[in-house]
Amino acid sequence: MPRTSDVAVSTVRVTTTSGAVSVTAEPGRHSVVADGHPIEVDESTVTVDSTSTSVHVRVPHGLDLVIGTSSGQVTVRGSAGAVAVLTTSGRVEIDDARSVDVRTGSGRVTVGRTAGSARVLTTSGRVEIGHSGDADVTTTSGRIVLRDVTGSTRAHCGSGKIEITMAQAHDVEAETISGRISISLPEGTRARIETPSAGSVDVAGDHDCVVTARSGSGRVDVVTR
Amino acid sequence: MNTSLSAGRRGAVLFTDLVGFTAYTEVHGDRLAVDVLDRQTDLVAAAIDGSGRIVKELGDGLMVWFDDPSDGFGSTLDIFAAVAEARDTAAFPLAVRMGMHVGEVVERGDDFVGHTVNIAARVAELAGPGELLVTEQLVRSLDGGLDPSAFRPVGPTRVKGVGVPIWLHRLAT
Repeated sequence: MPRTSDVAVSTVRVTTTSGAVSVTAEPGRHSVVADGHPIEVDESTVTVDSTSTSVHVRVPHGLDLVIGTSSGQVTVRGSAGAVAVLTTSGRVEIDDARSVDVRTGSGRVTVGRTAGSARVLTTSGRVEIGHSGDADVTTTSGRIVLRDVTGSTRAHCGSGKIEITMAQAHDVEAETISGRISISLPEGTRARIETPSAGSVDVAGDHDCVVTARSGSGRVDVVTR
Repeated sequence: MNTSLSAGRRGAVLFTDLVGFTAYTEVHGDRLAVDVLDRQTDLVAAAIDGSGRIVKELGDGLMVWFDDPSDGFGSTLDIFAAVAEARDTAAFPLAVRMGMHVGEVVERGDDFVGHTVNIAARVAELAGPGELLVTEQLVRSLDGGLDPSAFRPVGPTRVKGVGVPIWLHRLAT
């Protein structure tokens, strides 16, 4: 049986039919350990395929992770590379990743920070991201909270409040059918603001970004800190 | 019931689905909604241009068959681009999600049935607005290989009757 420390692993895939998945990215670790579950190695990809049980995997920090479970919480601790999660239901928590792609049917999604892009798609459940580059979040129902965003941002919500705090001046598009929208821009931002209620509010001369916000039945606030 | 079944045939299956069609119909009415359906069909038919055929309409989506997965994937990229362009120019009001898989199907009259079809439908359900999701099998079937950076991993899904996870990728945009 190949040992994962013998090959240059770049991606770890973890899947279980149902049950929780937890992955811990550990600095100083050189191999993948999966607590008794079978490990397959194919070129630079390691796959852990568990059937019907929860699985805990320890990996070297910085590796890309691709994770899936039908139902069960997904947790990624430590600092990972690009993280992709696909789950039918269950809470998703990611501490720190180079980029994030999460799609879930129901369950809260919490991302501590990602230096790269954050893409989240959920049917029902709150989405909260502490720091990201570009952000693209869609929920059918559930509040969206994006803090310290350093890239262009799209937040679409069927019903739920949207709160966005931009760390830098980038385009923002926020839309909810029912719910309040609050967008906070950094000091000195020269934004062209487009809302159905207020119409288009432009700045004299060049603008830094365009902020588009639409709420079917809720207040829209765009403020500069 | 007279149904003709033929032996397995290999190819690629694409499903498209209009995002928010029900809400659009409620707001804009049936007549404009039908116009959107027709526009989707026109965009898809123009893009496939003989490389495949629209098998059937399914509510607000389409099922498309391609004999050659590589040609089919090329046509799917054309569909993707055509829809994006139409959206940008406000000529098309809704986003489209798409899912694609490759494998054997059984012909049933003008229709196709089997796991390959079920998997492609499931893949489309998991796509977000304006996304194209494909299975790993589809990626591996493409002639000449495609730049791996064209895709991003999404994760595994499972389909009833298929014992192994199906790994999905999205077209990077």
